[in-house]
Amino acid sequence: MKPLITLKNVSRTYELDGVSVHALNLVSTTIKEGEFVAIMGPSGSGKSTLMHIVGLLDTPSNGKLYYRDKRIESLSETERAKLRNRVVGFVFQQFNLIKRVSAINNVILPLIYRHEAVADSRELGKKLLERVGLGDRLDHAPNQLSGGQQQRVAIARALINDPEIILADEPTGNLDTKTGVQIMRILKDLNNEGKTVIIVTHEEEIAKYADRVIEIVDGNIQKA
Amino acid sequence: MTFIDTFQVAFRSLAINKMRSGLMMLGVIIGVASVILLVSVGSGLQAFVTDQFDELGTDLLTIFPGELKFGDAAGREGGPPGSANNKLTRDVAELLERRATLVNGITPVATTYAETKYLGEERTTGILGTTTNYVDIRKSPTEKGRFFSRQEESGAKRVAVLGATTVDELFGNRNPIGEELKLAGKTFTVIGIFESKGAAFGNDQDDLVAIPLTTFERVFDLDKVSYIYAKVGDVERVDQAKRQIERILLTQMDDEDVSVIGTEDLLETVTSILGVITAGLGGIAAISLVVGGIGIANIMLVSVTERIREIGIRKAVGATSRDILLQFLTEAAVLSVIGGIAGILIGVGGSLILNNFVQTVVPLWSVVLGFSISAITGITSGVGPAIKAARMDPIAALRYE
Repeated sequence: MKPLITLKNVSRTYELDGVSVHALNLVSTTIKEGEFVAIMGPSGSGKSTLMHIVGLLDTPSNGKLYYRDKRIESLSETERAKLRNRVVGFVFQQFNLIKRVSAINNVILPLIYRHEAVADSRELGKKLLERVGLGDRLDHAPNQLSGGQQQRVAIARALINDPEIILADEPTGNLDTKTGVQIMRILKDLNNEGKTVIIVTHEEEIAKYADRVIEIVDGNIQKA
Repeated sequence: MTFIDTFQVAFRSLAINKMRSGLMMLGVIIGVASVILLVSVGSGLQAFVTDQFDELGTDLLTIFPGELKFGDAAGREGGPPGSANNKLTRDVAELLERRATLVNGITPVATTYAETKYLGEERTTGILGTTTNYVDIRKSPTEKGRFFSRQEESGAKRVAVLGATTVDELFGNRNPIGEELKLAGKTFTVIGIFESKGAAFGNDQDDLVAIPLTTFERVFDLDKVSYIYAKVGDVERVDQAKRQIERILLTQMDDEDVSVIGTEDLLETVTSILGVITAGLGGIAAISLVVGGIGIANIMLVSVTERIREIGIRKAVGATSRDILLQFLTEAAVLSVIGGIAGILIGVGGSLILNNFVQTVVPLWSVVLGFSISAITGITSGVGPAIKAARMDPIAALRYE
């Protein structure tokens, strides 16, 4: 399998009240096409920073970052936004749907940032909502949906631009066990269909769905 | 994000919070409407004044006692015939009539107020003492009856020509021609009624009694006149005639004793004063537009803070800073443009309604001005909040509670 995302000696340092905080320290790892990877670690370990860097929401302070063969650590804001839009689909612990906007419009939101006309965007959104079992909830606002349903809307949104990578940050963190299992099954199915799935979690049970676990402590990878 | 998408996103966001959007627009609506409304009142006043002066004719010169301040001379026929140093008399008018060769006609006018009585009715009315030329020079024909003759004038007869309002008030529906009324205790015969002229500056031009100047002098024991009209006849020679009149007058009195004013001069001065007033009114209204703009800026800032999370989400799914900037700018622009259009409709509609009471004119420039100020204030006040939104770090925005 080809490498999809590669980190070489990536560090991320924040300035916090004049003190340098090393969130990531010379991290090197490779995520291959079609992998299901879990990033684990206690809170404050740097796992969220790692995910933000992989998801192009954050940039490394030092080191090299590759998407396939392309160096992407110093892309412009606009180019990173474009990659976020096309290559990555995010699923968050807090669901992060736009309030008071219907499920279908939340799902098709990334399409408007493709900067090109998309035919039948509503049809596409409807198909994806049907796929996650919400075909009858198209016009419900997020506050009319349960947590599990909201997370499924978020997954549908992550899929709308047919990305190569699904990045899920504690996707079951706000859900009960049963609903969490449903969400993980959807992610597992997506992985089986060929999507690369990266989840950040601190739960062993959730990490078991992954093919591989990257453990991170104090900004260093312990086990890859 | 396509152009249409930008508008769709903006409209959708505005529709989500209708109350807030409505309040934001209200400031702009009130601002634009008041600019248009106030300017229309001012312009209406200007148009009205111009009409009045046009009616007087541009070849009319008015000779006033003393050094005249333009503001006091807005075509009124009231007040006592001059102050202590008034040197205008019937003799001066007659001198002009003889020697001012460039003038077609001269008519002196003396004015005062006096009690008029008919049967039980009693009221105070403006009294005009003048000569037979008055009818032609002031374009005040009689509607019924006739104006007094030269014989009646030289004989100082007690005959009176009444304005329509005076007739209504004193005689009601009765025909006043041939009736006798009391004027300052003396008995006068009504011989005619003027054609109605309407009101000007809240001053009823139909509430007057005109009597021969000779009679006026005896009844009121006054030998001064309030002003003298000189009709030039040839518009081209107004300035020449004015200089001739001034030369003749200076043989009788000093420079500061008299002023000769052309209708054009008066009109120019009055319209320039009214222009300043109109601009002032528009300016005051424009301030309310700026206040409306500050309202937009304020609510936009609140809206940005409220939607930090939304901004984070949009960025996470691929929105660039430019997309976010455009979204918030478009929201501000849409609000101010819709508000501006609503303001124009309300302003123009309001001035049409107001036109039933006072003359109003909506000049195109006030509509353009109101709309552009609203668009500019709306968009500029959206810039700050939009930049704030665009610069937001997506990670921090996503974590914002």
